[in-house]
Amino acid sequence: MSDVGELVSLVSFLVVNQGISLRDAAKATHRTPKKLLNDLDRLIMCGVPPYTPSDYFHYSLKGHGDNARVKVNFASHFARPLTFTPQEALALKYALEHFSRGADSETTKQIDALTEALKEALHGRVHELLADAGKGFVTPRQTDRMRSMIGLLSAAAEDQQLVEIEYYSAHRARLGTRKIHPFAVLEIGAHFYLFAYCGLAEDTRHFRLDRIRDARVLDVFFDEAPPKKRKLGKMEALFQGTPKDKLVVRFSKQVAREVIDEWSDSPGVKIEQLRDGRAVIETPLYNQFWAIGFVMGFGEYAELLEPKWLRVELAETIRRSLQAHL
Amino acid sequence: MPIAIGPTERQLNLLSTLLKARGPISWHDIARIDGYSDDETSIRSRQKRFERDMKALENTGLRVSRTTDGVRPSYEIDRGACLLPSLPMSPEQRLLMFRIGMSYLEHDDAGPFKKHLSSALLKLQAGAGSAGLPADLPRTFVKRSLNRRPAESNRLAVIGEALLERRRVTFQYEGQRRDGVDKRTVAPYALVSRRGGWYLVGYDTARKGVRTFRLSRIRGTVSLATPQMSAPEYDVPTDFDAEGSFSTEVFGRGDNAFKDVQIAFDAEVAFVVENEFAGIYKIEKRKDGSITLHLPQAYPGELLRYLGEFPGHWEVRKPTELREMVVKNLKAALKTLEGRAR
Repeated sequence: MSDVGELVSLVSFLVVNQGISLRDAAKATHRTPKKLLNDLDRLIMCGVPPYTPSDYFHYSLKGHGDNARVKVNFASHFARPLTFTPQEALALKYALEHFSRGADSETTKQIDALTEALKEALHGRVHELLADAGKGFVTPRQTDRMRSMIGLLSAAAEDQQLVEIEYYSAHRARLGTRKIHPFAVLEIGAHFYLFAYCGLAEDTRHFRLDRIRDARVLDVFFDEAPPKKRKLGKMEALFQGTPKDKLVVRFSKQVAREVIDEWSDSPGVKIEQLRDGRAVIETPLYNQFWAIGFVMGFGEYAELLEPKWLRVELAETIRRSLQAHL
Repeated sequence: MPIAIGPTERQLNLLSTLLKARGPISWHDIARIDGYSDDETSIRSRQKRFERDMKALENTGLRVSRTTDGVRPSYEIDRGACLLPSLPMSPEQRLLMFRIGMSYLEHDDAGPFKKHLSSALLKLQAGAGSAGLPADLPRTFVKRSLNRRPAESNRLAVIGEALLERRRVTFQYEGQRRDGVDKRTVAPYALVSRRGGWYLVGYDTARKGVRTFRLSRIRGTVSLATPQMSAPEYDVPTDFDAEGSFSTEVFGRGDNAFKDVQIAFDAEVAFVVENEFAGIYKIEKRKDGSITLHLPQAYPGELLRYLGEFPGHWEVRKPTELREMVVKNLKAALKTLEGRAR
């Protein structure tokens, strides 16, 4: 959106939401309070002939700091925002579609009703795009069970209610029960995770939702906020902490290119491409169960070189898998 | 000396005047607007400045009609086409839209939605009645992201935004046969995510047909094919179906894929498989809690990556060729591990 379009939308938003706090206005308009004030200061230069004081845009702040309430005056001609651009209409459509693929049935119904209402109200090119454009971002649809789980845990996070989960930990390689304080449901990579404080680990954890066998919301409430220091939802957060060791894996030339494609640009990873087409990847080892699964996934095309103790564990796991096939 | 004002403020003044006017306005009215009223500049230069600004406003989607009385032109904004109509949204729907938007935008992983979704939501909140959002906005408890792999995120952001803007992209691509890298120019029709990451489906201008590109096989950066342009360059055909054009089959599909695959999982991990595939693929349950997953097709590579998540908890039942291949693989991997101490 151009500067003009953005500033007009900002004024329209403030005209409709008179008295909103500076903090909430900044959050809802996707900018910092400082940037919001800068934009408002740019607008006070704007007006219409004959430029009497009431022909200039004006704003006032009542209160202090980010809690100050914002009021705007002399902007009735901006009471309605400019219509959507085709790009904005598509962004709305694609985001609603994508969100639906991982939403519970009640939310999906609400999204469908919302989409219909928008289609009904809009016209021209924007209506055509909302009504007729095909899917733009196609992701796998979550199963009904997963969608319900996402809904249940999102609500528990919002209501700040403790949850008891039965969880299959790849780290411990077994099912266990934990009481957790849910903070947020996150889509990271191809999976959904619950970011929560875990009573068993006495620390925050990312729990993969598809590994939760059962979740029971308890009638117990908590009031602590999620720790701010964490990079909430960053993919690297799943591979952080103190490395147990260094993982070194060599891949044969049949899969080397694919592995390089996947791992290049990943934090903390060294890739060496050998002259004969093979590749060696070196990465901090945080979780040996993940590493075993990762190497086994490549079958004979990957050889775990280090650490030695993990070679022993991997061999044992392969023997168990072979046993299942005899 | 008059205060110099920038083009944005000047255009805002022009737009305000057009919106406030109840009928067509002439150059006489425009020449009173700050930004076009400086007497020290010639009328010709100020009129040119006005024409440039008018074009800039029209590029944002504004429609301004020009009429003439035979001598002097006049200008009037088409309110119906320019302003967002009243959106019949309930307070609950406004809040839902706010939550959905924030789930993508309130983190530094917004990817291709960042620019246009943010501005669309702002307009939507401004245009949806006078009730406004609640006095205290809720925290965001759900984070949604299109990113699948860190290495893909920059390419996804550029191609995704080009898809929204209907702009062609260009990049160096190494195909599946790994027989070299070549330059492709593509009109993006859709982005499809599978277990292996994101795929671009689009019209390849040199090959004159729809092709599929795996984002991780793109070498270097992706850029707009004609960065100097700003207008949309193509339309996605109305009969284009992203899911029909490119298989969303989880483990792939094609001539070399194994057919009618059956994998058994023990009771300990069965529910994880059910969480992901119940209602999508046939799952047979047994009394001891174990299950058999039936897949219509699967490439062994993609399937083995998935099975790697459950070391020691699965068995390939069918087809026999796949089972034998897996056993051979496991034996080979074990032999390597046992035969060579490093």
